[in-house]
Amino acid sequence: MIVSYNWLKEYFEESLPEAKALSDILNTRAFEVEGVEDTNENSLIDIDVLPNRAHDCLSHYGIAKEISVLTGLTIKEINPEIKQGDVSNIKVDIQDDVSNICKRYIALEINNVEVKESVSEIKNKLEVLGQKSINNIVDITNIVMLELGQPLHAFDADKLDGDIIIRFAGKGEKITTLDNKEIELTEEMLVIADQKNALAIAGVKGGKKAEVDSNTKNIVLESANFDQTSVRKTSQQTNVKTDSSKRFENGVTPELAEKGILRTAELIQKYAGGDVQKVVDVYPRPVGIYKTGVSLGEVNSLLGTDFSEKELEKVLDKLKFEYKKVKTKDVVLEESQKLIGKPYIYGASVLYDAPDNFDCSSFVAYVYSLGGVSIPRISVDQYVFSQEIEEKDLEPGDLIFADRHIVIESNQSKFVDNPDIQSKVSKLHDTSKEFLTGTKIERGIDHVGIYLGDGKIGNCSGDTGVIIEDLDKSERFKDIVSYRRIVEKDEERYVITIPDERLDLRNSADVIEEVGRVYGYENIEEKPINDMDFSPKINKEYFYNNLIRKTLVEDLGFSEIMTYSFVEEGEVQPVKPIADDKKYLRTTLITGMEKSLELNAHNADLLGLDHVKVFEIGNTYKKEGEILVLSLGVQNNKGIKKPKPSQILEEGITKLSEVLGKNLSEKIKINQDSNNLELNLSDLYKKLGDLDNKTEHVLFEEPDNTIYKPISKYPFMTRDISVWVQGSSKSNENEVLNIIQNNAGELLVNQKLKDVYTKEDEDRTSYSYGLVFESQEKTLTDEEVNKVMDSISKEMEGKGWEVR
Amino acid sequence: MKPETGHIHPITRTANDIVRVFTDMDFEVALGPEIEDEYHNFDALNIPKDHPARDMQDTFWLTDPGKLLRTHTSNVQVRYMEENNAPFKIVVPGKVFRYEATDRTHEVAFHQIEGLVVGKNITMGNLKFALNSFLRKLFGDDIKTQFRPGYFPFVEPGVEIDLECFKCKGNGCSTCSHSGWIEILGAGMVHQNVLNESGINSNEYSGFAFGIGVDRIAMLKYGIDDVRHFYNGDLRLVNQF
Repeated sequence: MIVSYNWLKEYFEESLPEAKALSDILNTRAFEVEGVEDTNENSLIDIDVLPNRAHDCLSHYGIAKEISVLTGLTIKEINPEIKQGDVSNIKVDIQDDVSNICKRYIALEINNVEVKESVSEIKNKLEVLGQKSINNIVDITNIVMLELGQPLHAFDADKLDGDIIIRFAGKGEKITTLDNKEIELTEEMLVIADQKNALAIAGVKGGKKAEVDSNTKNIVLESANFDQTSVRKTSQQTNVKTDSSKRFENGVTPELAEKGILRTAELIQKYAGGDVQKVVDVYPRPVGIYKTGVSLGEVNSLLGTDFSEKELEKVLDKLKFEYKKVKTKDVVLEESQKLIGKPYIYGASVLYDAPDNFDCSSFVAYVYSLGGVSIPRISVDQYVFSQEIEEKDLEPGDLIFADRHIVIESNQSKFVDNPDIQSKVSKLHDTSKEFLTGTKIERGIDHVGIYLGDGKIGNCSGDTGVIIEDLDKSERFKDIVSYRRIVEKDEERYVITIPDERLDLRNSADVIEEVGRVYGYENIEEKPINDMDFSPKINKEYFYNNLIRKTLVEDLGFSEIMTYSFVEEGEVQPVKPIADDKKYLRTTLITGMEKSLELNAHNADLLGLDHVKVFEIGNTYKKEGEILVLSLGVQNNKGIKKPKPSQILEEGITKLSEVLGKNLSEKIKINQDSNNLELNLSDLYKKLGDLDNKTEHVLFEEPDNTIYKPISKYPFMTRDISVWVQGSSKSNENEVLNIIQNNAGELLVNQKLKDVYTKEDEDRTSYSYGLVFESQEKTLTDEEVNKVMDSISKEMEGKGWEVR
Repeated sequence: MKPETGHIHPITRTANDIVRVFTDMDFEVALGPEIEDEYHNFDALNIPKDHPARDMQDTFWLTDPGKLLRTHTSNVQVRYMEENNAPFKIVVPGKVFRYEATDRTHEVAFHQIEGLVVGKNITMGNLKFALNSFLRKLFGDDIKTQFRPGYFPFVEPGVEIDLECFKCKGNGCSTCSHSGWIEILGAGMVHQNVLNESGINSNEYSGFAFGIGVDRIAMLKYGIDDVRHFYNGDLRLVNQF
């Protein structure tokens, strides 16, 4: 997200660090900063806000809050002030079947607005961020979205046919969007509609019908909240991606909608005038306050720090968290008492229904969350999450799990006496669902309560709501399955009230990450891992792959290549290929091998090779699965007859057979004209014995300090030179080479001594060299190379040698 | 007569150099499939269906429903945890795929090495030690590193690790895009959801994971200018190593 530095400055009385310094702070403590671009009296900071912080930081105010945490500078509050009327003309109906998708819908009618061009201040704000200015009303909705992260929309009130309805689209229903595209909707997509038509694709894009234009006098503002998955699917299926859909698909708290609409109304009154009616707020299930917590021990044991309480509190203060240090079990006991009489709802949610309604496990999860422990929501998961204790060790605050032998029918629980049904029902509750999913427990459970001491149990059931009763008299705890513990008696924890917008903070690990990054990872000391009871096994495939590589490279002179996985023909196919000639995954390595041989044979002189010998180890992809394959290929340089490629391949297979202790030649047919072969390694490795742990991995020597010389884009040229040198010893070889190298300079990229022979009777020796010339900058001409050859000859002749 | 020795591919050499550092620290090598299912590549790694985190990796979905080309070697984390009990230390080299346009620094198929350590009381301090030791072995004792916040759905806390540019010693040059730092590793403490999903109780165990791009390291180390050179079977590259 691009953030305007000048815009950020508006939220601080004090001066901000310079843009570059600010981006360094963000980069090392919060987000990756992709770059800072200085523009006319402003700077644009490109901040990589990823899904973990997209809930609260896809906005200028969100980033400003983060800056406030990291710098300690005080951030200004946004408290919109508007003159609200007493009436509202508009009615909003969130249909029942979409109330879990449209989580909140706030509408606000404003009459007698003056639609016009935005003032330059607003226009400029949008334009530096690459947004188009439309008119003052639309611009303000965009400004508020960029400020707070709450998507907003404005409709022309006079174009609406009746009330606003939030509903699923009808089959085949179409909408024309603001940019004049007709989009066909499906029945899973949510729309904002009036009595006649769809007005907008919910959370994604506005429609043409109620567009605000220059004649608009009365508007209806929308500030709503839509389910992230639904928006994401709709956006993907319609292929419409907008600033709004991006924010919703990452998840935004419904709590933000109110501030969003008030802020928009405030700015509209300021810039477009108008009379604001009364806000209409439909909010079927308001979210509750979310609490979680962390202990000092948990922080230190995950980060490897050595914080004292005071040091941890300093970091929590810096994060501006509202927190309190408590003894968890004391809170659990105290809060359980306060909830007596609260009614039971099957499947009650901690976030939405507490503290007014509970079921047995949400009661437990809720009071523990107040004590700073986030535990699973479902009773069987709570069982798996907690530690078993003996009955005699039971302490106040521990959990007791029981089997009531209840069945759930149409959201009603009822007692069943029939043992057959009982055993069936119990099975439904003996496997964990969300924590360590699939963990079986010894006996099924269907009820949980909190032991409160003095023989009392606090629990919530359909028959009773939340009650505290004598454990030995309780109807619900006749068949106790297990006594279990969440935390030790005196454990102290920091209970943190999570700000609404921080949907990423749900448990202790989430909080520890906040602590770690704000404290600074550079301040964490590095420590070796303590002895671990683990003896690594040798990986067979990795071992043999390297053994084969080593043998081929070091003993047989083959070089390793890697070639493309995507080819024109095959069996396994990506849905969207990267290119027409790369529609499939390869079923053989030979296609790539042949191309490589051709390329390298062409360059054989440059490479100084008589035989191009290459291999590849890689996967091929067949209908039935992946197969690991070795391919070998040989091609002789022009003029080289012996040994034939087939013979080199045969030698290779013989050597590999010897090294692997397995006769490979029966599997592989090499005929006279073969220049390549393939070997199925997946099959081969199955037949090779397991390795004992003492076998070392076959790895290559420590790395050399090779510095790569770029591959020239230009063709190379070859020349041969032969020269007679006085003397019968071969001691002049170095001198010959020196003359060649000194005259050719950087253009000489390869030289090969092709032939040496001495004529004893004439006391002279002949040297023949093949030379390869190449430039990194241009195509060499004959003239240029001839010039080099001439100067070589000249120097040699100057020594009295005979250049032939 | 023994022929002249051949050459090992720089990707293999670099991958082996990296793996060796970890096997010397008693890590076990683990390998896994390139054609993977959605569960092991995404869901089990805390990247649920219809979550925006899925957009962070452009995926080659296959025509076979639910199948894909793995976008990271992290799938092997999950497979290893399904088969083995903690504690353990593994290092996972392998080929991965991303559906993106190719250029000098991007290929659709490339190599990655991932590591995973799970045990009792594994800390961020342990992560720092292991990865700093690794970078010291690979780039020399006088290196400087920087750990900053990062986000990968399967770890928490997540970190990005930068290496002070070895070309300019932090002054800024073309190798480090004038920032003085080179992004070299992604890492973090294993997310509780990932441990639990694979049957390891996060109340008892913790761990760290890291990932490194082999191609990128090879390019940096040897000064190779174009990632595409690795995959066209060209000995003008390979025979330099």
